[in-house]
Amino acid sequence: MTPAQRRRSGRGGGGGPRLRRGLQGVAQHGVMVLAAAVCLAPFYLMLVTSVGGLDQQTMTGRPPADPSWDGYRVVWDDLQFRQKTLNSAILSVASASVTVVLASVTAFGFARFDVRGLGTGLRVLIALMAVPPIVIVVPLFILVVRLGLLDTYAAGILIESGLLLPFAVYLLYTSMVSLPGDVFEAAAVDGAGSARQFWYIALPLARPAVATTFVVCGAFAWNDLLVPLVFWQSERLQTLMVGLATLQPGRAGGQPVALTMAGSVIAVAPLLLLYLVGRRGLMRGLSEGTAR
Amino acid sequence: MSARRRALLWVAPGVLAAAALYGYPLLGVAAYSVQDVTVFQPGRYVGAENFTALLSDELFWHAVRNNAILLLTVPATIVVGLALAGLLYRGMTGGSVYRSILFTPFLPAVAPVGAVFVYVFSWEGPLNAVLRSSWGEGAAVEWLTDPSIAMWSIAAVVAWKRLGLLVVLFEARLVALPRDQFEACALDGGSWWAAFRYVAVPQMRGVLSFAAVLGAIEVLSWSFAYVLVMTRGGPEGTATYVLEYVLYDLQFERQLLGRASALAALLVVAALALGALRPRREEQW
Repeated sequence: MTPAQRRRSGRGGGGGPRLRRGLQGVAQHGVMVLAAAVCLAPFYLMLVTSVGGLDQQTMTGRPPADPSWDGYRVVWDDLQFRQKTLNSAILSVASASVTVVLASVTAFGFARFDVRGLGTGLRVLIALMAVPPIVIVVPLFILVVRLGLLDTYAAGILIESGLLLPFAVYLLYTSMVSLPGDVFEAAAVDGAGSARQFWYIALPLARPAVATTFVVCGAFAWNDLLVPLVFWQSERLQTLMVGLATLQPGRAGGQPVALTMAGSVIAVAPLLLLYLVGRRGLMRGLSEGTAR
Repeated sequence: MSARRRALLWVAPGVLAAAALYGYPLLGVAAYSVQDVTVFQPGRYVGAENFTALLSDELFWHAVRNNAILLLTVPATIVVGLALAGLLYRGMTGGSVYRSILFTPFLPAVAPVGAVFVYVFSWEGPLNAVLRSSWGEGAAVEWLTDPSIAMWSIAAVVAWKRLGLLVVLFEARLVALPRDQFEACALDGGSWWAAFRYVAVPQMRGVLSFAAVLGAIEVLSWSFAYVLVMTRGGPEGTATYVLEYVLYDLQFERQLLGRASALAALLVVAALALGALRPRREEQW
């Protein structure tokens, strides 16, 4: 039997009567269908409501008889979601790039040198992942204001990169430390210095991890609300997430729900498309990165 | 160049960046927490005044209680996640499709998720429509506008978003367990449930405590956006304030940077203490 067949035939099933097992299978699917519906329902409601037209004030959950793109048009043109999408993309790509460059160099140092004190340094760096971002935002905000850097692209990008750094170093370190050491020793015998070892051996071998880190960091920055909210306060620099947080909610009514939902679809769609394409790789990366 | 110096050169960029973006602010928090500083005015030393003011603030304790409500999502998602991972591991047609769907809520940002749930939870929203059609007009609930319910609604969204990650982590761990133990259990006439409960779960202590610590850190350090997007801390002004939101309020609305820093210092200590609970890699699983 292949593993897949074995899997389907049930593990440790105990070999009860066939009817009982059939009923269990039905119940199993029932639970899963319910869980899947709960997970997908908000996405469905988002999509259906976003094309419901501009005179809708509440979310009904019913698909409209004739879908209307007015919500998207108003959000994209009149509410400047075009600019906000661009700002989100800038924050996402620039922060991920800065983080990956910094983190890969740093992770290489931690992974390939056996020097006293380095282990402690790595542990401290990784522990920073637990620090609540809002905590470091307080003093950095004062610094940025005093330096006159509030509302500059640089401030948001650099601070976002810094927030991502511990996580990125952690991911890249676990990958680089598991590379076979003899390749590096052979290169060293041939006279390759550490810079060449990094560029010609470590980076190419760790390419899947570098790509995963870039994508995860990019998604994180794309999704982040706090950093752009605090450091990009001018309207011109608003990201999608800040726009959504300030656009909505129409708790007291008044604002067409299609606008908020169209904006939400724009904010969510790139990640879902990326997920559809890279699902397998992401799942593998997640379970390898944490379940080892 | 010695190996030591070369190593330091390689790690320098990351270490310096971390020192600037974490070290400097953390020192700043420590310093500001004992001053009466504001954005425009350097502060004087005031001792523990900020801390005592904070600890005698009713809002602080209200926020602690709200964080505790969010903390209940940690055991809840672990139990449900474990059950779903167990079902996936047991094997079923379409298992990988179910797994991918369950993971989907983990992807989107809190802002769009919060926006959808604001409308889902609204008085005229789809959730209340379902309740009304099943149990009559009186079954509708003020999910986000009743101050005693709003925090629980936010907690439900936090749980909704995290569950899928746990399912994936738990199932990956289950798959890595030695199969022959399950077969032995089956040969002894044990049920699938017995195998899961007495063979699998005890060996998952590592991943379970990892999930618990991760969840607790998330509740403490990453719940700000949920509150900002879904309720702005309300209803009734402060009903859903969490600690991070109190900090944000002190910093940007009331401009009491000293007291904000005192709260920040407490949060950092709590988060790092939680982080230290995380099992070490070697003994992790």
